[in-house]
Amino acid sequence: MSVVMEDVQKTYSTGGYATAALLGITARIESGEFACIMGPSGSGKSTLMNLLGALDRPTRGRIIVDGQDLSKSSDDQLADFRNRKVSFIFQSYNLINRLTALENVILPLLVKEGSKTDRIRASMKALESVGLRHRVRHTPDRLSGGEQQRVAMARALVTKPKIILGDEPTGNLDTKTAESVMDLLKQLNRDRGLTLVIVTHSADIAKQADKILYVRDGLLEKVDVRKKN
Amino acid sequence: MKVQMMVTLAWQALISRKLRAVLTILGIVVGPALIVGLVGATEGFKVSVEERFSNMGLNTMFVFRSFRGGGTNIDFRVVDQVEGIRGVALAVPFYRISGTVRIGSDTQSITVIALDLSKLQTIFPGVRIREGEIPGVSALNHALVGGGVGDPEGGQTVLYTVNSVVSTDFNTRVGGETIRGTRSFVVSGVMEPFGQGFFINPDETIFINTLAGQSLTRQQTFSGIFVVARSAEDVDLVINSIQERYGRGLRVFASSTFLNSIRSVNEGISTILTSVAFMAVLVAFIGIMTTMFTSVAERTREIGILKSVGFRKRHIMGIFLAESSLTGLLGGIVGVGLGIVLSYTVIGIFGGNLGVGGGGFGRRSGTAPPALDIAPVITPELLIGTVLLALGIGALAGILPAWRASKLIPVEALKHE
Repeated sequence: MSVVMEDVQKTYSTGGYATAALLGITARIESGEFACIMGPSGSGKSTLMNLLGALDRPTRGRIIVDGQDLSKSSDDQLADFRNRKVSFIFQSYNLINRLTALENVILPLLVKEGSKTDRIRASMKALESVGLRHRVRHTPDRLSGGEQQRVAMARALVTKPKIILGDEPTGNLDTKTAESVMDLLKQLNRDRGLTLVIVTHSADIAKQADKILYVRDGLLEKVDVRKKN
Repeated sequence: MKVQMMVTLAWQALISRKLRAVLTILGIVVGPALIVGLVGATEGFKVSVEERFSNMGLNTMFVFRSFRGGGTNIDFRVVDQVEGIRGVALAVPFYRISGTVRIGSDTQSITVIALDLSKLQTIFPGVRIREGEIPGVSALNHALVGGGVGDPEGGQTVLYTVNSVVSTDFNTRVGGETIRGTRSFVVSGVMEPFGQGFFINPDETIFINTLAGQSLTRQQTFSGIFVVARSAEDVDLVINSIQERYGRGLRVFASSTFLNSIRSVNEGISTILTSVAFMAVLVAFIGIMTTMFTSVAERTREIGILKSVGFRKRHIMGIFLAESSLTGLLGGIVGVGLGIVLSYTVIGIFGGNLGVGGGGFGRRSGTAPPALDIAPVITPELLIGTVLLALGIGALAGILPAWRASKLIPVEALKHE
């Protein structure tokens, strides 16, 4: 599933003042690629990630994912896109604290057709794939940071997305846990052909990517292609 | 996403904040409780009063000589004139004599009413005979005894049965003099308890024939006339005709007039009380809306998470609407339960104090008049309607907060602490 960005711009208006976060980014990520977006703080890389994941809309320009123009899609179409085609892994995990690990993973399946049994089965399988079968009834406050991130990964995987977007997914993890999370993501990229886009400050992670997009001051500074797809 | 799933998510959210949910529900409970309690009580009062007046005869009027100077003496001529008035079906003259019966060492004040006994059940349709029969027209030494004569407390004592003898010490005024005496009658029949009457208290009355009354009172003029109109619509016409003809010489009282007044007062009270109840519902509405806005604000990040995994606007809206509706529903159910208790409590406090003085024309018989036998009227429609109202109020109050929640931009919501 390819991602095409055409002159993507984003301006925020707060209290009458306009702040330009992205000034026009044109780039392409091929289907099955592992791409990293890097840049200093405030460069607009998280803003770009949010637009790719349809968590926000660009002010100008187009983002086309698997043929779907996100800038022209309705709110419901974007919601379906977030459910069926893309999954997000956040730095702060973004789990719902009053739900168990299993209930958090089931959430994306609630908007799909299917029986309760099927949902539970799929969620248990996703939790097993991240090594958390023994923690299914735990709420986030009873899980370590690494375990919470793995629950988030299970939630991201349960819908069998085509693209996984990670906004500094290892940012709050210790080195060892960060490595295991990245290993899992790379395995998914390699074995299932998932397109993987990660925002990161880590050079170690970036050097494993097929492509690195360098963003500075809202513009694409350069694109470093490591491997051909 | 099915509605059931939204309700499940809403329920989970509610029970995760139990204290707040309980407090919000308590705020809703008052409205439904007042609606059920007060409507049940006022309807019960209305039904009881109407039933009692129906027993007395809604077409029945009481005519008697004015107490002021210049009152018209009621003799057969006047009775015939009254019976001839358009709209009058029946005019039955009666004597009223005050008396007592002995119960052991105590006495009970009773009233003796002498009239054409064959017309008794036309005048008072609620009269039922428990035992025996109404004395025939020629049975001058026989009496029909009220259900409470000899048993004023309404207990299990049966003092008078058919063929027993009831002796009454009576007093009456003849030519300015008070005459006292004792007279005995054979009991031909005993009435079923009648309950509180209008102007007379049948339970504490001994009914005898007109001639027997005449011999007791030694009067040719009557105490009054029972007038029965052809229909309820003729009552006012008859009253006006009597007043036109006799001016202040005769006084006319119609149970339907009093009933209309009571209905009017009851409706007025009911309107005020229902307005109070609906004000409470309005307060509940505001309470739910406030709670829901707070809930949306606190769960902004959660909304962002749900949207990020693909929940649509209508799913978010559905979850919050389900939450507010559930709150309303629970408040409604608890409220109607409380309302039933309130209804019985109100009746219990005020119903016992609603005994109307009887046994004489404005003068008390000497014994405490029996209270109105009131039961609240709580229909399934009232209960279901009130619960649905609470549910509807909950849903309505949740619309704006739910809409706001659904409009949140995912990335903005996710940034919320």
